[in-house]
Amino acid sequence: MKIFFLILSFFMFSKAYALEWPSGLFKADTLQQQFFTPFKNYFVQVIESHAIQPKNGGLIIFDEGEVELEIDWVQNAGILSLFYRSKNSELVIFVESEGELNVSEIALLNFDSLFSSPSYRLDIPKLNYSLSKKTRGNSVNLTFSPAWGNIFFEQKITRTELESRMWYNCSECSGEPILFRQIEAGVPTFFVGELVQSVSPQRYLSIANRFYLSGISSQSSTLLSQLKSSYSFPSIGD
Amino acid sequence: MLRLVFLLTLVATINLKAEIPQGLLSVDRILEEIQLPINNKILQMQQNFVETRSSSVQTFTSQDVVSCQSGLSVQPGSPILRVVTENQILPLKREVKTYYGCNQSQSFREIKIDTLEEFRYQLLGPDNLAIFTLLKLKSPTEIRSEIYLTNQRVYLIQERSQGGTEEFFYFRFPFQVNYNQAGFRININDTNEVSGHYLVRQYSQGFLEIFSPQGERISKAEFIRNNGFRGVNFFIDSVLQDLPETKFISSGNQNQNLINELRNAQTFLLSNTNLNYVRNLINEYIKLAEDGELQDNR
Repeated sequence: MKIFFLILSFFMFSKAYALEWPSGLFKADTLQQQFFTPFKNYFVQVIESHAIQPKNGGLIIFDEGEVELEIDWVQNAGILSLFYRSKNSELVIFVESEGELNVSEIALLNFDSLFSSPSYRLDIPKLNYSLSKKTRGNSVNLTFSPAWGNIFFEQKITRTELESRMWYNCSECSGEPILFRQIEAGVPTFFVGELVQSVSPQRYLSIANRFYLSGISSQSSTLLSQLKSSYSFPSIGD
Repeated sequence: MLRLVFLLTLVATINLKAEIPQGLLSVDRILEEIQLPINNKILQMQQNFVETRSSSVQTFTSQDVVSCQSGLSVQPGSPILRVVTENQILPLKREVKTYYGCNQSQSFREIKIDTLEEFRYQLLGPDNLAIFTLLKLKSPTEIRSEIYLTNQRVYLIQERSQGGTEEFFYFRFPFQVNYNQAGFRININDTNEVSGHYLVRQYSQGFLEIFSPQGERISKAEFIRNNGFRGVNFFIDSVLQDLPETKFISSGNQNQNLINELRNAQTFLLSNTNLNYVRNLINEYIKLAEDGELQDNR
């Protein structure tokens, strides 16, 4: 009985002192969701509106009886290679991950199984795009790398400290670095700019939304448009 | 002993069977479509009238004169609906619900039988003749589901498992129903001749391969367009005709738009129409919830 109360009080104690991430403030998971969800939604619609033929290590998508896109996947030495072939083009996506992957889901651009992986790298060489995640202890780093540069996100969560920062690395970027920080028994604090100037949460979120989050979302829609226009990915009537 | 072994094999086999792929017509969905308006009607009766319950009888009365949809008027205090439920567990699980509407005689009856080998749902009219029957026969090698309107078989779905792949065969039969009974009339005419069957193959990764009766590969969307089960709402409206008019009552107007949107989405899901609308609506709710504009006060 004593042990039960000891365990119970341990959990109550831990909960009482655990810092809560402010609601509405993005985390690594939120950013990944924001980036990947349009791809997943697109392919759900493709699969519903097109005839398909599964094959060993792949899938064929038809449009009015004709092959529109052929997908093949090969996993070798920890790297998953996905090949998308249409009549006139071929695109390759490479995925390298520490965690277990759901290959057939990823082939349909559903990256849910990547989220739980502590580290991964996604490369689309022909579109000059890559995205990587690295976890070191309590820190998670995400790097979105379109052709023009990089957007970095770093998050640290411990029992006594929360921190996130975002910044650009490119020659013609318009966003200032942003930083959120909260320590035990303190209030959340928000900073902007190279000089680490303290700002209100509203100002912080406005900059985050305008220069970072909307940028990441627009990358997803740009990539999807390129897949459809340059690599003959199926149209879904949009 | 032999029977026990057979039953155990049957349980094991049936438990291994996959569900009909999401979004495709299944007898469970058809049953849902039949029962939802009846359940909603009872819910509205509970909101609009006075309900008294004994162990097996639910009675609804009103303190005012009630005009029924059939044109009858029911005096204050007289039952406008009685639902009598009979339950039996052995030797088989059987539930019979009889609905006595405004004219005090049987309006319709629901019979549900559930055993390891069979599931049966029947909707009977005032004359105790079947209007709708759903029959699901479960054997170690397949599940065979049949839908009947009056005594005509209109749908047959067979489910089989083959080397990790599930196969579903959809047979649709042309039919014509003219059912005229005191209080309501049903006229359904579906004479579209369909020869052969649709075949849906579900692979272990979840991919669906679908073939038309002509053997052509088709999309899931096209399959759904050709394999709906329309007309049921009209049919159920006729069945509920001997009950008074009712309406949903909500606690306030604050959530009315949300309720209406969710009801529409539910209807679209049940009828497999406007799925993009439902998808977009859910995305919109997620965004509103993330932005703090949709509050969860549970």
